[in-house]
Parts: sequence; C-alpha cells; structure tokens
Amino acid sequence: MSPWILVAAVVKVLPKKATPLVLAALGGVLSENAGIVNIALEGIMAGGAFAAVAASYYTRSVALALACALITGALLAFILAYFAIAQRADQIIVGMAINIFAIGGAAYLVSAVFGQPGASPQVAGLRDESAMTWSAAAIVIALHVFLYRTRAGTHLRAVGEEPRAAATAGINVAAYRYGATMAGGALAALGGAYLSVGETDIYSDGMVAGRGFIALAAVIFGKWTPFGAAGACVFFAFFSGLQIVLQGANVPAQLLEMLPYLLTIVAIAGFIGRARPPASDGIAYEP
Amino acid sequence: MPDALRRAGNPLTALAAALSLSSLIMLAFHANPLHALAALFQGAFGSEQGLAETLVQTSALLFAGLGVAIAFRAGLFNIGAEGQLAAGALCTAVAGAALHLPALLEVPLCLIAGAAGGAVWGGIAGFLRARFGASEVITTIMLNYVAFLGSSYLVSGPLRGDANAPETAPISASAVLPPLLADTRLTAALPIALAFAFALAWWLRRSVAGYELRAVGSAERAARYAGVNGGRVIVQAMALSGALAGLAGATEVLGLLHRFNAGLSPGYGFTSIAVALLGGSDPIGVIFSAFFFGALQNGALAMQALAGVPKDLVSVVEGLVILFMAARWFSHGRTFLRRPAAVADAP
Amino acid sequence: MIAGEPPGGVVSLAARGIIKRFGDLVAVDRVDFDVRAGEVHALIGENGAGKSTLMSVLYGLLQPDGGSIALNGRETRFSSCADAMRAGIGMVFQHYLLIDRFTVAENVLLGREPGRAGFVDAAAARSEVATLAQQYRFSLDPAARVESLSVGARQQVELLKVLERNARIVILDEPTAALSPSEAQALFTVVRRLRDEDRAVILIAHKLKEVLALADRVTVLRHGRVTGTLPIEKADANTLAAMMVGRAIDLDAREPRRTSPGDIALSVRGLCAARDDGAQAVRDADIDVRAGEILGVAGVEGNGQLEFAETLYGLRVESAGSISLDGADITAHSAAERRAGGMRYVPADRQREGLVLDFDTVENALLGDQRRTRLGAALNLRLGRERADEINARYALAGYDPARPARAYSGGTQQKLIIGREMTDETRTLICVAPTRGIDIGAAAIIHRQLRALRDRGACVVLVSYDLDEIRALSDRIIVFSEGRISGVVMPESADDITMGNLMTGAATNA
Repeated sequence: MSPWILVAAVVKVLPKKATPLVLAALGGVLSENAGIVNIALEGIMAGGAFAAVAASYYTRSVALALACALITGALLAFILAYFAIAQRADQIIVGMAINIFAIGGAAYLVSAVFGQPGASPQVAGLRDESAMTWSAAAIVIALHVFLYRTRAGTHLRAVGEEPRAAATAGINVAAYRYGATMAGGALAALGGAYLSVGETDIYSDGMVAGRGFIALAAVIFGKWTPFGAAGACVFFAFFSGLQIVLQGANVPAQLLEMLPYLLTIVAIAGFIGRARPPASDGIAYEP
Repeated sequence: MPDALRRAGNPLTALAAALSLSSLIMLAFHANPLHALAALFQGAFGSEQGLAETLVQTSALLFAGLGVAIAFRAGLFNIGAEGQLAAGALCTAVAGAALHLPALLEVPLCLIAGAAGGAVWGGIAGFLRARFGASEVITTIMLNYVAFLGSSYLVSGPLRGDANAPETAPISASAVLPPLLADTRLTAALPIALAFAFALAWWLRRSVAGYELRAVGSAERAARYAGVNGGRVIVQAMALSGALAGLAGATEVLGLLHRFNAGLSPGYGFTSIAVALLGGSDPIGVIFSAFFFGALQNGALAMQALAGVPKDLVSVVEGLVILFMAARWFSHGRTFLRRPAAVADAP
Repeated sequence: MIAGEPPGGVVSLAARGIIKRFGDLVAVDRVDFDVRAGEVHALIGENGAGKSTLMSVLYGLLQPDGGSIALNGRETRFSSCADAMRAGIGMVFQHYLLIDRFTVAENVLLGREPGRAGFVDAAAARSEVATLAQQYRFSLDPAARVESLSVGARQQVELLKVLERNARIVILDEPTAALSPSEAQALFTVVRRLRDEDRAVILIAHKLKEVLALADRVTVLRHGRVTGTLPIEKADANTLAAMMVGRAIDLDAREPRRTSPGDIALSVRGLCAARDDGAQAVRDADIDVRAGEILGVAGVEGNGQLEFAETLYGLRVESAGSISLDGADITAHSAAERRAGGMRYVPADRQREGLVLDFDTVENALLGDQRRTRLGAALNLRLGRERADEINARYALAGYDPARPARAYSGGTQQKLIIGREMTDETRTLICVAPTRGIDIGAAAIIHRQLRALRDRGACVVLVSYDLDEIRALSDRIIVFSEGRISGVVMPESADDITMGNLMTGAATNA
C-alpha cells in the first residue's frame, strides 16, 4: 500500500478518533489552568458515556442524552472540586477515587438498570456525529479566546498561577476553581458521550479504554493550552487511526493497539521538555 | 497504643461512610442492603471454603497492596500494579514450564522470575520519572495497557503452549504450590505474603535504605542534603513496588492457574490502590486492609448470586473508601500521601 | 494620645487596643498604633513580636479579637483585604504576590483590567502602566514578564499595584530584605516621595539603620506589646535594640580574637558551577580559607553564593575547577564523603533542606550520617538518640522529645537542632548559609557565639549571609560575590556600606 493512501485512510478516520480526546483534553486544560489537577477524565468520560445511553434509552432524545452527559460530568467533577478545595485533599488520589467509583458505578448500573451485565442494549444515537467534531473545533477556539483575551479567563489563569495574588486582587479563588473544574468535567463527559451515543450507540464496560489518560497526557504535551492540547490529541489520534487502517496487514493486532499508549509514554518522557504547568496546579489553597 | 488506635480510627470512619453511601445506592435500586451485607458475609466467612477463598484473594491483594504502599512512601503513585502483576505472572509461567527442577529449587526460582518481571515493569516507570521527570501516574497506566496487549500477543503466538487457547504451557509439577487446605485454593502464597509484610515493616522503619526511601518520599530536598540519590531511590522504589505486584501474579500462576492466559488479571490493580490507602501505606495496616478487600471481593460474588446485587458495587465501595481517606476530615496528620517536591511538576 | 506625635498631620489610620489571639497565644496584646498623612512610621520588633499579625489585622487579612480601627477618624471594620484596599490601604508584602508568567501590566491591573464586554484591552493596560511607571521613574517595560525581572524591579511592580489603586496608606513589609544597597537607596527615594505626596507610610523593618534613615516615628513591639513609640530624633540603634529585646545587645560589636588562623585548610581553584536551570551561577572562584578562620561571603541574594556553598559541600556538581581540603583533592567526593572528612553544612532553607519534618528528633539527628553510622543494614538509632540528647543539652531545645516529629517544633528550635547537629566536635569545616535568617535576636546571639567558638577550636568556617552586619561582626575576612564572580576581598574594618555596595553590584572589583 502506498504511504499516501495509508495517510489518507488514517485522515479519514481522524475526526472519529480525535473528537473524544479533544473534548476530554479541553476539560483538562480548563481545570488545570485554574489549578486543579484532574486525572479523573477517564472516569468522567465513562460516566458521561453511560449517562447519555441511559438518558437515550428512557427518553429516546439524543439532545437530552447529551444534556444528561454534561450534567453527569459536572457532578462528578464537582466531587473532585469539593474534596480538592474545601477539604484540601490530594487531587490525584481524589481523581483516582472518582475513576474507580465512576467506572465501577457505570458497570453496576448497566446490570442494575438494563438487567444485563457488560453492555447496554442499543439506543437511539446521533445520526451525524461530525456535528460534534465541528463543535469540538469551535470549543478549542472559544476556549483560547476565553483564556487569553477575556477578563474572566485572565482571572482564571491567575487563580491557577498564584491564588494569593488573585485573592488580594479581589478574585474569588474558590468560585473560579469550582467553575472551571465542573465545566471541564462537562466537556470530558461530552467526549464520553461521543463514544457511546455518537459512535456506537451502546455503552459497554471498558469502552473508554484509557482515552481519558491519553487526554491527560495531551494536556501536558500541549503545555496546558487549548490549541496545544488539541494538536497533541490529533497527533495521538493519528496513531490510533493507523492501528485501525493497518488491521489485516501482517502486523499483529495487539502490537498496533499498543501504539497510542507507547507514544504517550515517549511523549511524556522525552519530547515535551520540562514544560511548566500553572504554578499552583495541584496545590491546595489555604486562604 | 492510643496513637495506633487514633490512626486506625480514620480508616474506620472512612469505611463506615463508604458503606453507608453504598447502602443508599442499593436502596435506590430496590435492593436490601442488609440482605446484601448478609450475603456478602456468608460468602466471605460463612464456610471453610468461603474463608479460604477470602484468604486467597487476600494474599494477592496483600502483595500488590504492599507494592503500592511502598511506592506511596517514596512519594510515587504506582497505578501500574495490574501490568506489573501480568508481567510477573507471564515470567513465572514461562519459567515454570521451562524448568524441571526439584520443588525446593523450582518454586523459589519461579517466584524470583515473577518478582523480576514485575520489577522490570515497575522499574521502567521509575526510570522515566527519575531521568525525564515523566509522571509515573501516566506512564504506569500506559504500561498497564502495553502489558495486557503485549502479553496477549505473546501467548497467542510465540509463547503459546500446545493448547488451542491463548495460554502458555502448564508449569512443571514441581512448581505447583499445593493447597494448604484440602479442596480449597489456599496455598503458601498467604504465609509468604505475610512474611513479606513483616519484613517490609521492619525494613521501612529500621533500615538505612528504608529511611532513605521515606526521606525521598517526604522531603526530597532534605534527602538530597543527606546524600541520598533521589533518582536511584525512585527507580529502586518502583522496582520494588513492581516486584511485589509481580509476586502477586507469580503466586496466582503457581498456586491457582498453573499457566498464564490472556484473561489472567482479575482487576487487582485498582483495588490494590484502595488497599494501600486504607492501610495507611503502612505494611501492617495493609495486612488488615487486604483482608478487608479480600472479603469484599469474595463476598461480592455471593452477594450477586444470593441477593441479586451486581458485584460491581464493590468498585463503588472502593472508590468511596479512597475518596474519604483522601479527605482531610478523615486523615489527620497523614504524611505519606503528601505530594513530594517533584522533579517536574506534572501530575 | 500616643507619645512622640509630631505636630500637624491628619491621622489616617488609627488602631486602638488591638488584641489578636491564636488559641492560647496572644500574638497582639492591646496595641495602639496610628499613622498620619505625610509621615513614615516604622514598626520594628523581633520575629514573633507580632508585627506581621498586627499588619494583617490592619489590612483586613485577620479579624481582631478586640480593639478598634479608625480610618480618617471614622471607626471601620475590614472584613477582607478587598475591603481594606477599597478603603485606600495598600500593602507590599515581603514575599511578593506576583504572577511570574504574567506581564507587568497584567500583574498591576489584575482584577481591574481595562476593556469592554468582558474582553481585555491589552494595549490600554500597557499604556496606563507605562504612564504610571514613568511618574515614579521606574524603568519597567509593561509588556515584560515578571519572571524576567530582578528582585528590585519586581518590588517596583508591587509598588505600582499599590499606587495604581491610589492607596493613601501604604504598608511596606521588610522592603529591603532582598535588595542591594543601591536598590535600597532607590526605594528610600520612592518612600520619601510617597511621604511628600501626603500619603501615610507604615514601614515594617528590622534593619535599624534603615529605620533611622527613613522614619519620622518608630514603634517597637515585643511579645505582642508596644514597648515604646519614639520620634526619630530620640531614637538610636542601641536604644531601639534594647527596647526590642529588653536588654542591651550590640550585635555589631566585633569581639577581639584570642586565637589566630592556622594553615590553609580549604582551597578552591577555578570553580565553576551552574544553577538548576543550566545558567552559570559560579564563575572561576578562587579562594583559600584557613583553619581557625571565618570567611564571610557577602552579596545580594542570587549572585551565586548559594551555589558556591552547595558546590563546596557536594550538593552541586561543579562544571570546572577543583576543591581541596588539607591538601587532598576532594572535588570528586560526594557529600557523604565530605561529611566523613569533617565537613558540615547548615542549609539556607531549614525546613525543607535541613530536616525531614516527618521524621522524629532522633532520625533527624542522624540526617546526613545515616549511612556512615549504620549497623549493617539497620539505622544506628542508639547513636541518633545520644546525639539528640547532646544537642538538647547544649542548646536547650524547647519541648524536646526524642520521638516528636521535627514538624512539631518551632522554627527557632528547628534551626537549633540543625545547628547542633552540624556544629559538633567532629566539625572541622563548616559551610553555613544565612544561619540566623528569621531567627530572633536572642537565639541569633547564641548562634554567633557558637560560630566563634567553632572557629577558635580550629575549624574553618565559610559563612554565607545576606545580612551585612552579621558578616561584618563575625568574619575574619570577607569575599563578595557579584554575578557569580568574586568581585573583591575585604577586611571587615574596611567593609563600609559604600565599598560593599560597589562590590556587590559589580560597580567595582578588587579581586
């Protein structure tokens, strides 16, 4: 197969692979710029994916399904925000807890709600998921403008860099942190919803398959900026697409599936340099 | 004594809160929490078989939990127990099938092979962190996926035994860990795990290497001042952590499955994080915590069969336990969960 | 009526009977303090005297448990620092509250950015800040990122923040702590200008010379109470010091030596070292230190002295050059090996470098020697206990308990623990960095005494300090670092402010 045909085939699959990553990564960018480390993107994606399917099952409305996903993401992220801000707990541990709780909870609910373990029945899904892809691209631009050109965005970044300075300037640190984290959670959940009602029209255990963590890596790789993170997602998605396209060629499936994960390791280890996160990322603020 | 009791009080409160919340969830789905709890108890402790099986789960969780705990004490988040376990299990299965020595030699060698496999897998993440500042949170998770896919590939192809299924050849008879109790799966894995727990408890508190590991985990700059090579300690801690997880896999192979197959890992990876946290990252605490989660995992099957509550609820309990342990309410003066002055400040 | 009032001048801010408690500790005990428009009122006292707490109350960061605050004669309450700022009070903290990654303009106008409909007009922000900076003759580029600025320039940004809001009452907390003598002079000019603009300036300081140069009135705090308020004409250094500690202390007095230096012990040739970020910190350092000598290392913070000290001890790898001790080349030796040869180190950051706060007293007593003193694979806890007991015997650690974690001790006690550990009979070479920074005068005097005793025992001491008075009081010889080089060697008798200032800023060298 000529390399160009290969690339073209991958590019065709790219939007499908990139969209959920980009949405989740943008959620990470939002919360981390306000100073909250969110490693629960994976669990929130699972929560969003499940919520969308459950809502679609009961209401047969895709719009409501997406709305439910957004709300679920915001709620799960609220748990992170609450324990991180009000309880000053370690954000990585809280994030891990949410991952376990959300993924396990979704598995539990699949059995409890649908009566069959492992996967839900098929539900009404999005007919044209490219709408979500375009929305994702628009959100990238909007988030960039928000963070770097508006007053609120500047205040949000100040909160993530030096909350004390922000507080003495009259900025409400907690409000920005709660808001950014919950909005970020909503975005990530939307990414999860893309996987379920967007692509496959069902929810199955483990369908997120590590994308939340790849999105997290994209945030770091992209230096905590919207365009950077989105670009990193496209980069990772390329290799994910490569795996699909090469299936059937004489390369073992598992080795191809490994590509995105191996690439993430390489990216994290080497080629980002010692990029600096927002100065107060992950550090609890004691007013 | 009062100090130990006070420290134990925090996990107990977290547990109580987690269980209460889970009961509420059960009630929401028209399940009876008391019924479920009874079924869980019945499954975990109700019979000799049940108790033995609980102890089987306990030993694996104890190994993996010790690994995660050691990493925490060094200031590292090892989320890769799952992958390290698989790596260890695979190495053990290969060694067990290839070697045909008397049991007294074979078993230790197979265990060492498992520990080595896990150590290498953990050590990679440690090296990446020490050398490049790469967050071990991300690398260990990625390495989990690489381990599953890699081992799956290997047992479908190059390492496949004779069977039609994707698994290795069965291990030699001399490698098998016989059951300690007839008709159960309980093997010498448990006493071995307990021995490691006590050894690690001594090692952390009384040995120079343990002191240096704790210093790196708690005050990286002071450790540097004290002449400790932080990078080396990080790699060693991750290797040790991985080795312990690898031993979990090794005992799984030698005692239970007697081979490695693609679906081996029973999901101990995330549970071991809960085990380590609930045990306060202290080896002795981890013993109790592993027993608790072993009972929970074992009982969950009975809970599903007898009370109709899906066993995944156990994951919900785990997540809640970790959440409440992380909260300031429940952990006064917890020290080993503090983020260290990182090499690079990425999560 | 508060003693020492100058005639005229409206009282801008008056605090009466302020009480603030933290649990059992009364940090501020019925303090009366006021400041007038067109006056500089200095507030001095030892660490822990209550200065910061009092200022936090005045600035709205803390709520008082008793007493009242009146602004321009009217009683008010500040429930937050936003309140205080709105009332026209501005504070420049000792640890600057600046966002490194943001520009000067973004920092100055944080929270009040110009623009429409929620967007920020960056150009307007920059020009506004440029105009203001020009007014006060600050040479600042509004578009420059704060992380690229020097300490003095950063302080100017902090001042701009306060001036942009047109604060009529300005509080300055230890403003010259990290400035060179010439930068401090520039700051004094600004402070005088603020006074001439009829603002009220509160100056928190502990450098008595600055207070005497700048203030119109001085109030002294001790243990949370006012020991006196004097007009500047009636104040001199010794009186003020006595009011601060309750007894006469003259730290500046040089004690005559009873011993004389011996042979050359530590010898450094062509030493070069880089900072963590790769930039060159130490360039071609050449110096000899004798046994029985204290070598003072002066310089504005950040000019390479810290890296120099770290390289001497083995915490930092040199990029070129050599170090020898008693004739033997120790350049390749690790810190542990240097310790074995009798070298000890008192680090700059006691809480994060000198101690593991989670370890107990015994374990901390072994820090640095844990490997050397081990028994097989085990820690020598018995030896650790002996050492801890000895340190307690020598230095009287408040609340000493071998099993207590270091975190539970006060800052001064923690420093004593480190000093006790590092200054033992085994110590033949001591490198110490800012050993009395943040320590009250009483404890500092004890530490100075111990340093002299160590020197008299024949040890060689390298003392890095950012306090010129300390350097002058203790050193037998002084070297000055400027931009990584040793710009001069000075004898203490000739180390006046002008000479030192020139050497520190690189305006002159005599190396």
